[in-house]
Amino acid sequence: MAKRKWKDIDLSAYIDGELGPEKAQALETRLAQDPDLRERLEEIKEVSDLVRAVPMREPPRNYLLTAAMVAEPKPEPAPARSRGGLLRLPMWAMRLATSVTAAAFVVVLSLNLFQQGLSPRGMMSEQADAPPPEALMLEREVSPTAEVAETKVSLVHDMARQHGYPLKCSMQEV
Amino acid sequence: MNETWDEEALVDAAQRGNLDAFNELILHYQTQVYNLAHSIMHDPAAADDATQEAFISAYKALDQFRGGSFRSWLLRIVTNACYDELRRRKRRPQVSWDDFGDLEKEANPHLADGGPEPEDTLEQDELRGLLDQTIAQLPEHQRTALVLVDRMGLAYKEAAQVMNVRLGTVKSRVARARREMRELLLENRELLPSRYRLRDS
Repeated sequence: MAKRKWKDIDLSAYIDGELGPEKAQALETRLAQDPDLRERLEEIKEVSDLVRAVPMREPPRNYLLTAAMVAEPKPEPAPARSRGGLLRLPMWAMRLATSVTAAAFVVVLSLNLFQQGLSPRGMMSEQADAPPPEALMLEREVSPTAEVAETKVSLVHDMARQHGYPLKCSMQEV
Repeated sequence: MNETWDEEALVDAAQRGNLDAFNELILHYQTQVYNLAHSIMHDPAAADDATQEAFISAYKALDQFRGGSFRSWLLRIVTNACYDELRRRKRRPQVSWDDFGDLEKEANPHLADGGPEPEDTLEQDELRGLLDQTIAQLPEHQRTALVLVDRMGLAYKEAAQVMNVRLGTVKSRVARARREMRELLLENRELLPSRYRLRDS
């Protein structure tokens, strides 16, 4: 019967008492007859003994925990109340803002064209013919298209306030 | 281990939010946790951070502990934390304070232990330093296996739980680590204190 070849992994496990009783017994029988195998076992055991000879280090401090150290981080503030909240707006607000902006742009553009008209007068010396600012304001206030724009703007403000999301929306001269 | 030590009761209390109970567990295991972190990281400051972080993570994850060996569970947390940190460092290499040698002691001589140190302690410090350096040269997983089994005295089964590998893997890692350690130590045989010097085969 061929002799079993004992590997380092077996010898190492034997040193730790992890080889299992049957294998351990077989190894012991062989060790009694084989000085080279005993030498190999000693080499491995020497290293293990050396590592075990050094006691563990003392930790530099205690690692006791305080309530503050394990406190859960505060939940993120609601997007509406946070700075830069516009980036966290829900989809409905984004869509609303986009459509209202587009509508307001069209209204204001129409208003501007309406006021200037397509007549040569509107294209000629604008400064000379332009009415004083007060008159322009009055003219715009009574314009039905301006009223539509104002209604849209106010709708945005109302809905934004209702849902707690700050949205900036205003009429601008073009 | 003292007579009143009841790990199960402490873990149970800690799971119900009793921080004092968890702190008792910390006091009991901090030496092992720190030593394992130190062996893996080979950097006292990093080991200190990893130990603290591991205890905080463990406390927050207590509801995930489903019984068994609390020590294995704890050591696994610190092992994983250390591996993560090592991987992070490989991506972004750092300079360790250890690389500056004993500058702190030189700059602050008053902090050093004034009295003459016993010969045994010096010898052990010397040996520990050499062993630490040698262990640090082993591949990561062999290093952890060797420290868990030889320095901390864990059984293979518990070491396997810590490393989340099979028993056979622990067996082979420990055996290969010991063989490798021997080769490395023989290269520096003359540096070992005479009483611990390995026989050259």
